[in-house]
Amino acid sequence: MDLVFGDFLASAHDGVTAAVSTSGELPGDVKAGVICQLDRLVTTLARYVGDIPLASEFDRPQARQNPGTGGREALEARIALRRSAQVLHSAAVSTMSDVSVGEPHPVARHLAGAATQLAAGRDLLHTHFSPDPATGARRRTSAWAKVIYTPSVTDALLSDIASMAAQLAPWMMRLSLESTPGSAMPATAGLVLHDAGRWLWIAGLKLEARARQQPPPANGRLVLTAIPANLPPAPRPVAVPETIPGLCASLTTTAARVQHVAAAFARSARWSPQATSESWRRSALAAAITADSSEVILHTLTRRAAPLGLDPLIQAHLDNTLRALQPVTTAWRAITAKWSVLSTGVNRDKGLNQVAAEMGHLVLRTGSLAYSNKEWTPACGRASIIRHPTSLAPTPHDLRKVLAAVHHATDTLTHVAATDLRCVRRAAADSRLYIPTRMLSAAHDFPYPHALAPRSHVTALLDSYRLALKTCTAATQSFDDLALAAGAPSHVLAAAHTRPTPGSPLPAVQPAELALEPPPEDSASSQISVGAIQPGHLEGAVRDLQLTEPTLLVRANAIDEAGRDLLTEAIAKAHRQASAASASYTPPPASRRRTV
Amino acid sequence: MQSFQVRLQEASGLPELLAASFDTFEAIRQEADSWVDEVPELFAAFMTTAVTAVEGREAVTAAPSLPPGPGGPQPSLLTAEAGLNEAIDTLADLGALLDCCLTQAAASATNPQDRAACEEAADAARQIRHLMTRE
Repeated sequence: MDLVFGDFLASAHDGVTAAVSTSGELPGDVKAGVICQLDRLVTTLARYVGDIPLASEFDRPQARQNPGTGGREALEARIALRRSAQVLHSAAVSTMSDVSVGEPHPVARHLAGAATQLAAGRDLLHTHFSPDPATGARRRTSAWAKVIYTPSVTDALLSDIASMAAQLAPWMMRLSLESTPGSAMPATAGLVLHDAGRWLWIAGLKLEARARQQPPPANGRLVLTAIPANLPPAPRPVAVPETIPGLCASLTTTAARVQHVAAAFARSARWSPQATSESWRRSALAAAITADSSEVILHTLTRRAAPLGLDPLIQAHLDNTLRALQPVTTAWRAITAKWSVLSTGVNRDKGLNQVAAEMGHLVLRTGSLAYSNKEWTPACGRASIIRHPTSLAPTPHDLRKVLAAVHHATDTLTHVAATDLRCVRRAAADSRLYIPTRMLSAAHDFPYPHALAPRSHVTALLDSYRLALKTCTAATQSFDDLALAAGAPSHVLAAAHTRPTPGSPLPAVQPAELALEPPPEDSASSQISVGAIQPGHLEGAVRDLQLTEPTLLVRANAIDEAGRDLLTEAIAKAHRQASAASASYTPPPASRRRTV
Repeated sequence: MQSFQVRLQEASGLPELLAASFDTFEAIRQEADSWVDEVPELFAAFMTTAVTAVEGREAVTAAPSLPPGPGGPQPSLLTAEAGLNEAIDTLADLGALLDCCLTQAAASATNPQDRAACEEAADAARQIRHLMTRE
């Protein structure tokens, strides 16, 4: 079983509760050890709050004006936690020599355990980010990264921190007032505990006030506790014969592995020798077959729902999801058809990339679940009849498990659509897409095995990927609703995708967004950027005519460059004018504003 | 189907065999693609066969001895009246024939790039035969 953030959080809570529940006064030398462990614990809590992006005076005016964000309380809590940690740290450094050697006191041990668990949990969250080599800024490296700092999840995290602070602060204050006769601890220890406890109390109160203003939604807690480390799960060997629960677990694990390798590959796609048509074609094929098998599975579950007496609402969701899955197969099939003509040229000995390889496993797992042949493969000889509904889902519990596995598989297709779209778009921008000359008409007498792909082919391919992303996102959203309605194990995934409620300060994450770490050219921006303008129209048009004469290409390129320069200048001028206009703009009085 | 078999069997040299292989792989792709929607249980089989045929065709394209320039129009593999079993058997037979011809060509090819291309294409042909073999 893979560890999730909730495991660390629960252990930390247990440690804190155990520490503050210890009865009796603590000897002076134990207090020194307690201060050291409190230093670690409170410092870690302060770091958690420091990691969370909060609304501040540097944020957008809209965020500042929104009174519901609770940003001020969180900022004040952050400051108070830092002060508490500073007080404890100075004392811990100066009293380090007073800490008794040997077996630590149970209170110190509980606090040490809690601090370690919290630090490990924070490390787990940080596996989803990496520093940008150029700017040092935090860069998302997984699909979960966008979820971690969504408002609902951070609300849940701050609520946990508030709860720990509320437990620790009164206990520290009480400890500061205890005085053991003949204690080796100087009186300053009491003062330190009092001072640090006071700041911690303030932090707890601020966070509790924030939680009262905007109670953390249940979804946030659910998602927070389910966050895994950003590590690929170990592959599950195929057991023959595999049970249905075993197949479901195997499919879920494989789906997670595909998502992990897809995110990793997207980061290296620009220079990877395996960024080839062969891999993208195989991925598209696997996605089409997975979607088709998922359709078969869902159809079987739909037939099983009524005999199992499932709620009509769940049955309606099953029908909706089945309808949403059908265009997914069609969309991926269209991509495969486009790749039957297009190519990245000769790619010998480069092999399939890991995404395509893992997608192959996804096909086998989904097929084995859909069909009754336990050793199902796409080959004709292995084809078999569809599983009987009673064999696929003997009980409602089994139905939910199967549902969750297919939900994960569909979510994975969304991720693959997003990452492949990004990688293929890059290949197209780098003019790496070709068609075999033998497939051209006789009018194109071209003495090479491949010719540059006509623009219309490339556009059609990219459009097909966009359609696949759209259909996969819609199907995943349908699965989200179904999983929530049916209480399937994948309801955590659905919660992570949950759409924002009206008035939510920040938008929640959509499945397609989760899947796609936007490349720089995709950065959401309301401003026009030069990157948004398609470069090289003229040069592309010349190449589309299958002309490779250098002088023509250079002239076309020069005209394109001149056009780009002109546009850059024009955009810069437009931005300057817009800035000047906004600086001098005074909003009209509220009473004069028109309402629509 | 016969015209493709004849071209493969009677190819007088490597360039001619490569050109015939290219066209046969493309014909297999088109035929497999036309059956994808016909039998739901064989959706995966026909889809995979079509993609494998593209891979075989791509492998042939990498051979330096493949004659440059566009190929002419090709006849379709089967008539519109052909049934499922006939289609499956035809694709399997052509896969086997391509495997045999290309394996022999790889053994006699003097250019290492031609040899590698033929071996890779023969591998794709073997996969097609495996995918389309009924047990």
